[in-house]
Amino acid sequence: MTAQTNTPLPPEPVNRSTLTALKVLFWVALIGFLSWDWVVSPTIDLRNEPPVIAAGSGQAPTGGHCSMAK
Amino acid sequence: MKRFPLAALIAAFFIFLLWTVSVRQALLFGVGIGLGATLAGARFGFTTGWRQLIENRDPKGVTGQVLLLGLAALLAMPLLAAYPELTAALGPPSISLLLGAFVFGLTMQIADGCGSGTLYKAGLGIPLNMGILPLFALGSFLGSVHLGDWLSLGQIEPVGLVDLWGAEKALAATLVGLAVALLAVRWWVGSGKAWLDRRWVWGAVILALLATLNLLIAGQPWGVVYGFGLWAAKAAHAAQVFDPTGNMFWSQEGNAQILTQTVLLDVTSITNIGILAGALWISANASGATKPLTKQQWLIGLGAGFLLGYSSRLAFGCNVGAMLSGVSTGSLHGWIWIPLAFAGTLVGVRVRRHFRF
Repeated sequence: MTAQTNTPLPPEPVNRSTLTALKVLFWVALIGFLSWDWVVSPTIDLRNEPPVIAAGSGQAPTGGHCSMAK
Repeated sequence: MKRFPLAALIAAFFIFLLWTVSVRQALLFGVGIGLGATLAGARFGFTTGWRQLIENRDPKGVTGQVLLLGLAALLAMPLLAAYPELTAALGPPSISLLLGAFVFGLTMQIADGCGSGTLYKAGLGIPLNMGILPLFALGSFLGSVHLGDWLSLGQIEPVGLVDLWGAEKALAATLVGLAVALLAVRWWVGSGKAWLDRRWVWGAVILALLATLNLLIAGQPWGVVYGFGLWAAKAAHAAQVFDPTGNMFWSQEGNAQILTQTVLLDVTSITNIGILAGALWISANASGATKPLTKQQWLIGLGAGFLLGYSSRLAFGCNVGAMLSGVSTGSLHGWIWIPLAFAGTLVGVRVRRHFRF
């Protein structure tokens, strides 16, 4: 009589076509989000561009940062 | 997809940004591509480096990270002193920072990726990290929504060493701090270990240069988490399930303004997109083999991804925004973040082992 073990079977490897489908889904979702955002957001005022290089521009940065509490 | 058509698509998006958004955003997209290609090409994983140190007493990854912090500080601190319009990554030392950094360090080991790690691994097409990304964004958003409540538990004003002591003293203190960290690593790993590895060294040098470019162009240090939270905030606002006017964080003038405009104008979002694109370009020649996961591992990994996002907001950044950008621009919160996140990682590697990741 052989002893039974409770070791679970190893998961099936992700096959190549499933992996490709996941990658396509990921990029379609991302590009879809960016496209939706572009369509619903106000038009960019190209005459009011931020400085190309912030250093030396004299203008405070306008971006958000994860270290900011406010 | 092969590298040439991918490069053509990435170039087309660069030109689109240049033509319809702004020169600055196009340049930052380029910086992001460089960051993503370097992170993926060098496999510069903050999470892996810490795990190798703990489990194998292998110091190479951590040495690479210390090199990155030192080089970035050498470049950033004199710039911060010379150009008053540049800002440091200053987060408030607070109860939320202590808790958030600990949970982030724990969950990054389960999710096998920090902020930048999740991004570049998603770009490489690793299934768990692709699945984690939207949950990271949701967690980051909810963390920002609850940030006011967490801060009410106790905080002090952010401390910037460059403002406090000047660039020279701040840089000296930072380099001494990093040397002490290396001494602690030396004590842990013992003698006779290899300390340097080519890929960690070239990764550190290029990442330090690109992080400095980000600071010069954007006027603020490299960050990852804010962009994720913004994406989820925009979706929640559009779905009318979130009113930013009644929220401490999103009703602030700067955040409220960013919420109304396209994410392509946000500096963190555009470097995040660049990192994904750079890693995707690297993945074009990769084998695509990934380790299969059980259903339980998927559930735990995705849950960890959500907590990564939430805790990174409480901690005022991830390995990039708090550790790299915080330490290299002289923020005290970066120095508080590191030991707390490392303590979390000590627990995280055991949880990871328990669930056989």
